Amino acid sequence: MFRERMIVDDSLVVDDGGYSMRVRIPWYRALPLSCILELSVAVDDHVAPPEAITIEVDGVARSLGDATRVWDQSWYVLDDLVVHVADVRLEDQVEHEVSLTLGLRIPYLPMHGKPVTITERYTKTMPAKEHAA
Amino acid sequence: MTTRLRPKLGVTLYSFTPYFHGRQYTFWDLIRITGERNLGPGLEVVGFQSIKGFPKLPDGFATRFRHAVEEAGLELSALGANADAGLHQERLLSDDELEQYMLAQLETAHALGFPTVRVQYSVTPDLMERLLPHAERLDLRLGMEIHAPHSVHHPDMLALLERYEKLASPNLGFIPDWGSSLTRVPPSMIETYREHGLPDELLERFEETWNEFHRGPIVKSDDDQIVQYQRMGQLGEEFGGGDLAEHLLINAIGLFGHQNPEDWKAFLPWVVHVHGKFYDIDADGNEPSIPHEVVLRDLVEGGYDRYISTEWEGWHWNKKDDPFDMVAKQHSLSERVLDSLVRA
Repeated sequence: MFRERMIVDDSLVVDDGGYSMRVRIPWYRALPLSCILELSVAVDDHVAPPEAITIEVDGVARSLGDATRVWDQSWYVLDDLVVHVADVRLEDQVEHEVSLTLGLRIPYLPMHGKPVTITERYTKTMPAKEHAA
Repeated sequence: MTTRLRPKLGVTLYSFTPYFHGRQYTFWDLIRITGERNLGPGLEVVGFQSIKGFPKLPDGFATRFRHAVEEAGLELSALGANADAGLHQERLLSDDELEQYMLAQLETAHALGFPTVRVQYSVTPDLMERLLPHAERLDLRLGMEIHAPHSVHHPDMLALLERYEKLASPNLGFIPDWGSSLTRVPPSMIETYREHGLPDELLERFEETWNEFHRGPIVKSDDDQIVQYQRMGQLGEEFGGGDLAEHLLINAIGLFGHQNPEDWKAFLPWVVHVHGKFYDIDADGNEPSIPHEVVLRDLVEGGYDRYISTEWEGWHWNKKDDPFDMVAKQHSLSERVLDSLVRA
């Protein structure tokens, strides 16, 4: 659902420690952070190691592992999730290819005791902005 | 000639999801436009969609909301609650936890002024019974949504019906979703995926498979549902259709149910609200996969006079048509059919 909207246009930003991008939820309603099953990003085919990724909603950044235990904070349907990848330098080029895979658990659709999951993938090309400190 | 009761029309803002998610219109815009375009008077809202932080409400929200609804000339029909049993990674919520989770949403429905709350199938008959005193205290009707792949023939729904008959409370009931009783795959879906480049042969085999499910026994268990997912999944793999094919095939199980549209009748005495799901309106103004003359006839003959919330869900694939226009067209169809039924 809305996979073409997942990667926010021109949201790739380079900072001292790595890069960040903004992500919209590919679903129609807010979901608790614990429903993020999989979040994988790659820029120019370099896949970010999961341990280098933090995600931020409402000004609070968490590792992916920590987020999976947070069921009482949600990713709201109108809000950007800020995905930050640490300790990476992007290639020196004008346009970058940004890829995202996002797996979500749909908590109200259990089947045999396990909620249904959806996975959306998308790739966009965009320039990288420098972080304005 | 006796005057027959007439169901009231309305809309769920879920019909306008592409506009809301795309930040083209705010929640307040959608309420206003629903009034301006005469798409009410019933207004249904999905809590976790429309309200950030739901079921908590921001300060002053309830007052602003009631004022906006009044200003738009609308009436509140139902609040869509969610039974999020799968909140945690490793386990489902216990009944105690789910009771508290639902209760918070019922309190919010009451604070906002909704008369009816949609609940979902993780709420068991026992849990529904535990929620009943809260519904009575908060003056709410709780409606179990019957949504594809569930139907009136599913054992979970029959067990709940039995419990309702025992409890005999006007605060408990069902919400039929017409997506459970399709007669065919929506034509616009096939057309759209053809335009996206899925091969004709895959689309034909897909429709044949859905029709085969349609002729076969109806889904009565998670196992039945899984068999259908697997059949559709194999079809996608056979054609190497990728993500597009996966969306088409998986949506078809979760969205397009096989119940006979006439079978809602058995549950009519317990219907507290209706989800008027639809996908397409053809050149003659009819819905090709949801026979409105049947589903509306049975509501009128059953003396139903509450709301039908029009729910356009064609936006999953149809990006061309304007959701406001689609809802207006379905209202025209409904009014035309209701006029003929009430006169009859």
